[in-house]
Amino acid sequence: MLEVDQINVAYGDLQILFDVSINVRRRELVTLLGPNGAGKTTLIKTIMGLLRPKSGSIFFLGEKLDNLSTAEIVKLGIAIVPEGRGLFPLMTVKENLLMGAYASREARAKIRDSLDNVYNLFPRLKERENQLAGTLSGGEQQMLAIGRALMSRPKLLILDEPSLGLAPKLVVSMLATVEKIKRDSGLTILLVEQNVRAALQIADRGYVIENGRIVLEGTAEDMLKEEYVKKAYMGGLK
Amino acid sequence: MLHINRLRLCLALSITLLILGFFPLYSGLFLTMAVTMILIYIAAAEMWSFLAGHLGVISLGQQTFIGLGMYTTAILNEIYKWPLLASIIFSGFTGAIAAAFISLSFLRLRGFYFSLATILAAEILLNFFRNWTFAGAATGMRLSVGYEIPISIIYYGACILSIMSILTIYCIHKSKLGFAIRAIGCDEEAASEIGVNTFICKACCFIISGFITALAGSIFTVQTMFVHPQSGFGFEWGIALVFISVVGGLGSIMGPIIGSVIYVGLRSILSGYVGLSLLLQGALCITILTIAPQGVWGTILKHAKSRKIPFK
Amino acid sequence: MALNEKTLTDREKLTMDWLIILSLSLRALLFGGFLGLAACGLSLGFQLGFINAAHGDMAVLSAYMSWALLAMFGIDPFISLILVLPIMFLIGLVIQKFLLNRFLLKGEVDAALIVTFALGMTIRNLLQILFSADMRSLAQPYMIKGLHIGFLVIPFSYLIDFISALTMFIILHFFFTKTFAGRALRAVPQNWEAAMMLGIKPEISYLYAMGIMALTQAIFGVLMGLTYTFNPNSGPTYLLLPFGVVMLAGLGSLKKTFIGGLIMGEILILCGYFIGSQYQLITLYIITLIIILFKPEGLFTRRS
Repeated sequence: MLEVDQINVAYGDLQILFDVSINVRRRELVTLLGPNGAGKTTLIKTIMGLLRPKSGSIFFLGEKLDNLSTAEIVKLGIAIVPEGRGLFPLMTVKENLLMGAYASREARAKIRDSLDNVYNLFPRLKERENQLAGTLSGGEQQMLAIGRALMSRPKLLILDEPSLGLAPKLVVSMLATVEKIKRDSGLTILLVEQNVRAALQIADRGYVIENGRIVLEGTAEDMLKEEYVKKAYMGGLK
Repeated sequence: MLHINRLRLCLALSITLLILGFFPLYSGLFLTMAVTMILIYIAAAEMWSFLAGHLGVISLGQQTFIGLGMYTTAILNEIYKWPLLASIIFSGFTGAIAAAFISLSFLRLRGFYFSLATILAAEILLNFFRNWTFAGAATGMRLSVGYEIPISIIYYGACILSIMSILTIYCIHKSKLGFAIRAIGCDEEAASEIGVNTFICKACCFIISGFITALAGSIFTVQTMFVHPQSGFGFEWGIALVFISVVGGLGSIMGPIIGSVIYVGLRSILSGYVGLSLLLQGALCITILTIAPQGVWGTILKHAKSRKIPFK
Repeated sequence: MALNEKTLTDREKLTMDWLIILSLSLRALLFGGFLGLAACGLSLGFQLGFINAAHGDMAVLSAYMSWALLAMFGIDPFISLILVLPIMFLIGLVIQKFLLNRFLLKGEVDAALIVTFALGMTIRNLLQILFSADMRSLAQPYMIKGLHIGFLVIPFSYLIDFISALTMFIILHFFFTKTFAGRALRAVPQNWEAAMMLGIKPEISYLYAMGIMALTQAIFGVLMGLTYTFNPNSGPTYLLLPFGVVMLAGLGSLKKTFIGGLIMGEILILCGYFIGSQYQLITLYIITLIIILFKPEGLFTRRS
């Protein structure tokens, strides 16, 4: 579904990504792992069209994303839960969710259904419907961010470090919800994470990126067994 | 700056100074007055262009200082009978003090709040002087000393002022302040991280510009022999400086010189059709900004050597 | 007898004074709501990160359009809005799309500011050529007639101003809360990256903002023209007054802008009464400066 092909991305003269290639197939949950500053968010921004690769291409459902604007990319069916949630703090929960359906006519037409689905998935959001997003707790904000992304009825859902700033118990429940979403709706998911163990437990496949290069890829099971992964991340980070 | 052969630069400068020096002796009254105006505009515009082009400080209310310079000179000389030179110098300081107040109060805000604050200051002073009967209220004041001073002296005064203005910019560039300014011009955030106090830098330059712009206003009023709230604090000056700097070339030294010539030239050629010349100004400004934002001089330079004029 | 007469006259005088102040205050409220309308467009622009220095000149342009329609075809200014509104709307969109967006989308806010400054100058000069610098007014006889409530007299023009402004505020409220475009305009200043990642296009946001600015300024300009007088150089005043309201009210809330307008209106008109009309503007400007100095986020906002 998503094909990132040998892209090189730089901020001015500073190159961040070197010949990065990843692949996300339909109905897969692929996780992208790596330490801080490895280039994960840069990769996501490039996919979303906020950055342009110096070389290489990105394909989504066969369409080349290179020259499309962010709005057009979103319209193709990619939704993102940004790093740090990216909520609109002075808008209510409901308004944030409604904004999720902005991009496509189809999403706007089915907005009632989408809203009900999201409320079923996250009953807490329904309770806090008219509360300002900025006043929610961290866990609730994360739910809202995911719910908002789902409102666009996407074909590909990207989550950028959703566990950041969440208490461990919440991380577990949040990732369980992500897995539930995948199982129930067959959504294709790209999960960018620092929390290696939790991510690999729900993923089908994974990539590890370090210093702007893909250093490891494989099925989640294989990666869990991989010495390199065990040593570098299990003990060290989380 | 263009890296011309030092010798050639000195030669060019000397010739220019010679021409400037002997000019009033051989040309008619009208031409001398026109060139005097060009020189006055150059002095004020160099400062504006420097602020806007290198520091991103866009003051749309430079007329504040022009007007202050005008009125201070008029009041001191005409009413309190101060000697003219002293009045003029004091006017410069009035401008500097006003600039200090404005910059220290408003530079810490977001860019466009500052620009609007400068317009506000000009409008406040306009209204204030319009109601201040001591200084002639809406009818203004006459500067009788203007009658006694020959045009050529005023011309030389304007000469000196514009040379001062250019020299000041040159000296700033060469000094530590200039280094800080270049850092700010490249990347303001990075500059403040390495310890450059962007606020003080901008304030200093703004105060210097206030001083010189006020002096420009003084000399202007000596030439016109008249002060009037509209001619001092009216928008025309603000517009003129923007036009001159944008059309001539922002951030360069040659730019405002070319711009002033174009400005005064345009006004003289179309002097019969006042409205038309003003209309053309606005249209020309917009056209240049869209098509050739580096201005006339910048475009010339582009063909000579590639250079980026900072315009954040 | 003489003593009684004296106190009666004094009390009468006092009552009259109070009545005048009351009626002026009421007028000021009506005017203030109207002033708040002019502030809306400016506030929107600020939130999206740009200033339109020609904000006031757009209002004056609308006033002159209405005046031309009145002079040539005898169309009542209020009715002329039917024509003036869409024309100004189109002009605003054209300016935004072809002139300003090319700078704003590249982040060159300074260039955009200078362009609007030059634009304002151009409009002013164009108007001066076409219509000369004389003061004009759109006032019609029926507007000066007033509504009498007891001892208070409220000129119709003020009522029209206020009702139009209130209507526009209500329309804007619905726009911002019930439509996607309006919500998008609110969202962008809160988190522009997230907004983009939801598919909101900055060019379109700018166009909407300018459209609203043009519409509100058109209404403001025409109605201002029939309440007061105007000439080509009125532009800066119509920029600085709403600017004062924006500074007072802070950004981001229609309600706050409205109330800010009311307060400014009160100050403006009461100033005129107590200090004299020639000091009205200067007092407002000084108050604006003081607010910028000490509370630039607005009087109603807690510093975050």
